[in-house]
Amino acid sequence: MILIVGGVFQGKRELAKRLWAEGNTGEPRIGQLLEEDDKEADIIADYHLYIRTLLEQGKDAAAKTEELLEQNPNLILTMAELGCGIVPMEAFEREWRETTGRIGCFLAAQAEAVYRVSCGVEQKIK
Amino acid sequence: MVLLVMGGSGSGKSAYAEMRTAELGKGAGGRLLYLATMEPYDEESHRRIARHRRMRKDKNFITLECQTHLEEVAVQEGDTLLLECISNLTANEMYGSKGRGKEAARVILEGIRRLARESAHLVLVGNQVFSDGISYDPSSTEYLGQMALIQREAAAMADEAVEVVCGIPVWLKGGSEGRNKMVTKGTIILE
Repeated sequence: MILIVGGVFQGKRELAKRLWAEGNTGEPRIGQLLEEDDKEADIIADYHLYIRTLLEQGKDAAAKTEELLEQNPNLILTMAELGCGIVPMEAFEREWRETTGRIGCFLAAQAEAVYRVSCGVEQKIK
Repeated sequence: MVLLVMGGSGSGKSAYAEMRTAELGKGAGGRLLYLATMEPYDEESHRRIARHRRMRKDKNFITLECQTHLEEVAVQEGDTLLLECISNLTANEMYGSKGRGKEAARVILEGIRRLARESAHLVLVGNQVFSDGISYDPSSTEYLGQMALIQREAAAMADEAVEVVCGIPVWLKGGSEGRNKMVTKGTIILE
């Protein structure tokens, strides 16, 4: 698994496509886990939004993440960094960014490579 | 040495700072002191404190409560200190009943400089909160400014400054190849 993090609109998905094209031909299948068969996708984008949905539904985001990696160990995941602002007033918003951060740490520990993208420029941090 | 560890919320900065402090402490041979700054005010802050206590449970830290008045912390030569974190300390000094209000940045920086002189190693945890594009009210803006000043001065005096991203150290200043290791966890600890 390759993990790509960065702020919103920074070019995470563009990088994901570029990395995918290095070993593959054609077009990658991009999913956002909105449909069940998205789990088979080459690139899973906006993982932070999926975490939000799971939290809204009262589901265990950590367990779902481990499940996803078992099912699709070669995927490229993109996820926004959410934690670099003032602590939000709303408890749910705090829970979302905290959970996304912790799952990000877990994903980074499992990943074979981690990239951080800013202004479309990537930095390979692992 | 002085090490500044920056990161956003949930970035893994605490786990990284604890790991580095424990390593530095091993070399120094003195006590490991954890300077705790969070004032528990509701159920969520109690949970946060409990989570941090669990994280450092087996690392032999002595916890000293330090919600304000950093200058009064008693340290011994050879101690290795972890101050967590600059944002809580700044908030307590600015808004707390025992705080020094507008003098917050000055008194905290004096405290940090003294601790750096009197201890073997000082690890400071900062907070990356400056990039959400939101304009805040004057009081919060003042808070951001004071905290930013402390963190800039801390980085200037630090031997190493690092930003932790998803548990991975990304160097802002200093650092060497051997220090690039991350805290790896097999499980996700949410609470």
